[in-house]
Amino acid sequence: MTRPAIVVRDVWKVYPDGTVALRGVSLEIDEGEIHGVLGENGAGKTTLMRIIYGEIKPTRGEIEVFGKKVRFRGPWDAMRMGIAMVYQRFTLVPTMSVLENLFLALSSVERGARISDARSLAEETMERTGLRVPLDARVEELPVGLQQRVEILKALMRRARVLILDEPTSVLSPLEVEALFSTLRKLKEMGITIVFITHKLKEVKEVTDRVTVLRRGRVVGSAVTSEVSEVDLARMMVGREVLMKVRRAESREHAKPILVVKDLWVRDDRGLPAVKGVSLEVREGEVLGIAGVQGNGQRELVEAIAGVRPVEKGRIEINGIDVTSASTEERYRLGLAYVPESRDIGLVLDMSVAENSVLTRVREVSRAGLLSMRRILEIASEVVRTFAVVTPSLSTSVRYLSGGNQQKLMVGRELAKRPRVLVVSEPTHGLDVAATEFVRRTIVSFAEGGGAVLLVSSDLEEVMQLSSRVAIMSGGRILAIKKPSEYSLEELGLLMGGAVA
Amino acid sequence: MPRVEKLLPLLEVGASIGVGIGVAALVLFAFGYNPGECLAAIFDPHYLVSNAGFILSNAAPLICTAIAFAIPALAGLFNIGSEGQMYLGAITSLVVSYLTGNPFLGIASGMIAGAGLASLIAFLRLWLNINEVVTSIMLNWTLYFVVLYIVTQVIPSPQAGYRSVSIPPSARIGSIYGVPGVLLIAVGAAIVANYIVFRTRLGYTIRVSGFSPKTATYAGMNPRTASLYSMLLAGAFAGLGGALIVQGIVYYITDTMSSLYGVGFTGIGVALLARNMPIAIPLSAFFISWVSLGSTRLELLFGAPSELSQVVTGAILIALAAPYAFRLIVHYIRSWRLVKAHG
Repeated sequence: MTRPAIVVRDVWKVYPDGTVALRGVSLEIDEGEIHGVLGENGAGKTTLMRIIYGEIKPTRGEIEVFGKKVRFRGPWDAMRMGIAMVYQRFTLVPTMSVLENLFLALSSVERGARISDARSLAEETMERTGLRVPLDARVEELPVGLQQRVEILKALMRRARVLILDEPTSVLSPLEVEALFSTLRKLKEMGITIVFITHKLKEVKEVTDRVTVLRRGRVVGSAVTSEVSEVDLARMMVGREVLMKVRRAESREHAKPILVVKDLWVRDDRGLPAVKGVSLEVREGEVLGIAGVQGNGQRELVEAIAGVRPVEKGRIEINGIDVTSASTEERYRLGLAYVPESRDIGLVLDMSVAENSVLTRVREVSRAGLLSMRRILEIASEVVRTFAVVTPSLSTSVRYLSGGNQQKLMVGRELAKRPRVLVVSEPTHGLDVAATEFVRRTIVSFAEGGGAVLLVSSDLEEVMQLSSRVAIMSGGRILAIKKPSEYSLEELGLLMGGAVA
Repeated sequence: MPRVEKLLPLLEVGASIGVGIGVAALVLFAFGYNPGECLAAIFDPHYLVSNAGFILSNAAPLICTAIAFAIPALAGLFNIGSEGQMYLGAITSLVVSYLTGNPFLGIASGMIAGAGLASLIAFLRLWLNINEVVTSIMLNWTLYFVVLYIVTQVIPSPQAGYRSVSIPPSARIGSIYGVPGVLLIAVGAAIVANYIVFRTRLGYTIRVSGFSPKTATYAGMNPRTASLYSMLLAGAFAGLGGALIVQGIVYYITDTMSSLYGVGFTGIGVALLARNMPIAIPLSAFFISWVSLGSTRLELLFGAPSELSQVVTGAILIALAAPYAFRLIVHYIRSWRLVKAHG
């Protein structure tokens, strides 16, 4: 009988802004197993791991590590108990050598350590684990897979007994994924416990011994991996509620398409293809939702539609006019409104509520290059009134508004332009229940009034509830476009998990 | 909350003045002078009143070079080149007013020259990705020697070998009811700059681009054009500063360049002290002008070396500008990296 390495009992986490990330999570991770934690974006996976690692404190509940009740004040306490974390984004200094990075990690736990100690310890660890990295290479010159291995080595050097990996495969190529998996199996043989966070079903099946599925901050099930199928897991991950609670504008078959995208190809910031031949139509009076795990080309797609990212190939039409090479401003004038996924981009935090409420229509409120303060204040008070933005005054810096009010201002500003088509990305990300409800209602009523909406969200429930039709995007492609009611749970889960249905 | 936040900059300026004076006192003490006496001499109100004309005149070009730093700073660029732009404005205004005798042509040509130079720097940054700080510093020195060459070799004064010809009285800017004309022009420039920044579409675009080029692109603006225009404006204001020195204060340039040297750099401090708010720049310029004149008294009254008086001015200036400058520089480095990473 193996004893549990980590026990989590009834852990709750409420963030200061009111978001409830965990709602009474309990789970056991046995010593020496590879334990998968599966869930969609926002299921609470990362929050849970950050709590186990001592980075944030739970609002309620307790944690036991190797049979001892713990109360971590910070990651250093977790490290002392033998817990290590490998983040999705590496915590290495790119311009330094591998050895220097390892030394940096070592000296944070061992005062007075020398670089020669780091070298001998690293060599000894590599010997012990068979995990090889070139110690004298500069980190930035290493492929991503090796950089990740440096992170793992860093953890092992500190004698970690529990290794938490947060979405470790998201940055790796398929070959590197294979290498990582064989490393993990080797570490398991050495008795190291591994917690593997992912949203990819296939990987769970391939590498884990047991799996716990999280959904909306709750554990929906725990199982021995070999005893469940991918379809079972998909069903658990997605949950029945996404098919219920419908509240949306119905598509009218013969409504006029307002936004048309044909065979669109777009590259990401690194120059790699991110959108690979996407075609879609958004018609008058409907919400077309795009569901999918973040980072599957959704952002590049909407940026290309808004004209802030160049199109490699394909065609974009607004209201029948080809805008593929038109400027963002021209697209806005043709009736496009765009709410970006981040408030850091969609708002100028240093500027006032009034100034922000005309951000995307500043030409309209100026004559001969001079701003009409009267027009700006008129528009601002309209936005604030119509969209219930709570602010001390119109001259308050947007920085001092709550996230929900910032979001309402951003969405409201775009709708106040009375656009033909609204492209909106992650509209309720990080909002509390009331603000979420408000923003969703606003979007749906815009569609019911005849507007066309392209909604991109990694929150599957949101997409299913609000959309007239739902497209599933994965790996830069649209895998399916149907009415929400035409999807089965298995289908959704499998498509979201990247499996081809 | 918001009200307290609005007071924070004032609090910061107040604390900085305290720290600056404290550091200056320590320096004075370390060199064996009585800090109390010295500081009293620097900030002596009688001295301020009796030299008001001089202090105010000297504040005028500082106001202009400070604006020349502030506007690009709002657009996210670090215009350390206002020094060179001011040199070019000064020499152009000198030559043009000497030849035409017309004060307006002198000022206008100085502004155009400064704007031209600044747009060259902006062009190099925006289209060839050459850091503006590097080009500016190099051009500052190039122009220093170009001006020196023109002063001593092209238009030397027939009466005195150490300086250029003087501009004719018709091109000089006088006083109105005892108020220096250059000051009126400079304060007017600050008001215009403030209007441009806060009441025009260009100013709006500049501020959005300075906050984040990504946000500007999202808003349908072109952050490059915004930066270019901000530099163009900056160059014009720096050039104006040079023209004011030549046409309103010294009327010729000497081979030590002492009337010009440092006015651009000090303008950076003035702008930082004013937190890049054009409307606050005149006040900040008066203060700096006052302190630097007051510091020179140390030499006269207590026989302190003139370097010490500069150290005292410097200490006060650094303490005043440091917290804000630090944030600004961090912001620049971040956005520079972003630009490099995303092309």
